[in-house]
Amino acid sequence: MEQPLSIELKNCTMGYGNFVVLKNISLQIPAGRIVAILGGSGGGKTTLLRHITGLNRPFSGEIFLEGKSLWSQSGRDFQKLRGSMGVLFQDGALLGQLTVAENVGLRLSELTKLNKKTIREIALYYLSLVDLADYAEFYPTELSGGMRKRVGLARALVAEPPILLCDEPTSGLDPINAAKMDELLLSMKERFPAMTIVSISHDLASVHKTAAQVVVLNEGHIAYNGNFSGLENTQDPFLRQFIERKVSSDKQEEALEKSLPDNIRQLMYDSLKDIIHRS
Amino acid sequence: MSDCKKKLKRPVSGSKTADLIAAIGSLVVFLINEIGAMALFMFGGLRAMVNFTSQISKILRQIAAIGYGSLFLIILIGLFTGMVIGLQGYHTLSQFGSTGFLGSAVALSLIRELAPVLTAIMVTGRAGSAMSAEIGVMRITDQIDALEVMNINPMNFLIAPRLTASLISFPLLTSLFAVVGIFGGYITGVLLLDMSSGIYFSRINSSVVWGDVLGCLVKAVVFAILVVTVCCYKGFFVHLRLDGKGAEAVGNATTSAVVLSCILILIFDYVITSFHM
Ligand SMILES: Nc1ncnc2c1ncn2[C@@H]1O[C@H](COP(=O)(O)OP(=O)(O)OP(=O)(O)O)[C@@H](O)[C@H]1O
Ligand SMILES: [Mg+2]
Repeated sequence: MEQPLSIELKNCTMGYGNFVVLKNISLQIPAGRIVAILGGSGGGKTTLLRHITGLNRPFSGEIFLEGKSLWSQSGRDFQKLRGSMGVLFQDGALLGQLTVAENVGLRLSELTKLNKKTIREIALYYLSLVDLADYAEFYPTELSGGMRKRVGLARALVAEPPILLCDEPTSGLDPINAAKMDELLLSMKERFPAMTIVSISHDLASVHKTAAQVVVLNEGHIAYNGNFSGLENTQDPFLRQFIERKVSSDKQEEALEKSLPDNIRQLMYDSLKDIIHRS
Repeated sequence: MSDCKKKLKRPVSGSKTADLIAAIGSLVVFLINEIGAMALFMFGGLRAMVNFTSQISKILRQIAAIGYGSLFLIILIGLFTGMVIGLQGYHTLSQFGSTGFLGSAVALSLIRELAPVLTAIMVTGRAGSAMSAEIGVMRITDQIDALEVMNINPMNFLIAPRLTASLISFPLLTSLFAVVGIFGGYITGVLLLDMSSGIYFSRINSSVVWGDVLGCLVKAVVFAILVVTVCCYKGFFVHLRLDGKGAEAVGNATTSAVVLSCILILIFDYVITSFHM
């Protein structure tokens, strides 16, 4: 049976100001899937995510969420569509003036009439999913980068939104915690089969383990869209480099071989000789 | 807002005069855009104040920061302002042999002008700059975007509590400033110089009318809205600034928020006074 589409992009051109990042992108994501977005650093993955959440408006093209065109909705319907998404930002984007537990419960405390005790209990539950229940009273600045990211994920998971968007949930985490994140996403998927999870990642092992659909962005286009085994068997030179972790081009080798002129290097060393100890 | 960023990019042309006209034109367009956006921002904030019952804890927190936090400063400034008017007024009035009017001079100048204006300027420097910087940092670290995707209206969450808190704090601080200032005039006039305290206070009683007090409170309310709107607006749209990025933009936003607030306070002071006269 065909799954209904959860996210659909039709010929979207995206960017900032007058700087185009992604050109004429079309993408279909059926409901109830884990989709991994891959691509080089600066390749526009975060940009894609920001446009799906409606934070930025595409220059052209249309974005459909749950079959509805995002930008032709009236205010309230737009909010409702957006409310169906939980978003983990690349840097967590936790509110600095609130504690971890308050951050996780923020949506409930702001938008519902639930009492404080209930909200706290809910927040602690989601924090325990990311193994951070002991840190409920900490402020975001008192956490490590990886911990902030996990709190961000806990916040995005509240109320199990139909669409979960994660910007690099595993980057900055050690292998054990990264594996835990994968398990968490898979168990979410198992317990809430209708949940669509879009996860940006640089971690091929984790993508292989979790994702049913893999999208690779390169130079403003979609270079690959399909399942992981298809990606492994591809003959496309860029994709091969990508999955084999090979240095991408002669350009890069050239850059590595390029050397700073000797006199300039000497000048730099000399001027720093009181600052950098060199034996 | 993003439109004005584009419009500010000047079209390239050969002639210097044309360039100049284009520059002036785009500046005017930019200013009009900015005023319009600020007005919309203000109405958004005022509208969001309707939900104040759900924001009580945030409002109290802001009152603590804006009002309570400024108490000492206002008392200090109010006292010395009153004392110096007392001194100046006494010497000026003594040239005409009418030192008896010192009470009126001190009270009227404080209540009509100095209390609302100086309070607003002091609170801008103390609390307004903090608002601008705090909201600006939230903007550049994606926190405001995070609020938006969680469907938490930043107007409700950030701006309205500050507006409500200022609307409560400004009139109180202004009144406090005036009272302390009158006491400062009393210190110079009666305690340090040789006026009788009966004359000082009876002149105040007979010269200050209800309209003066009302005008003072109207100014305080207008300045409260002005300061919060300008300071929050500058922080909120810090990412669209053309004169810097990141931390620098937050710094610039804070500076321009304080400068613009002070200028607008003085302009609106004149406008309100001219209606009042
Ligand atoms: N706010 C912005 N304004 C202008 N350009 C931006 C902005 N944010 C990102 N860009 C540009 O958009 C391009 C894509 O950036 P994006 O953040 O989407 O990359 P990414 O794929 O998420 O990279 P990474 O894996 O390093 O997070 C980059 O060239 C970047 O310079
Ligand atoms: Mg990114």
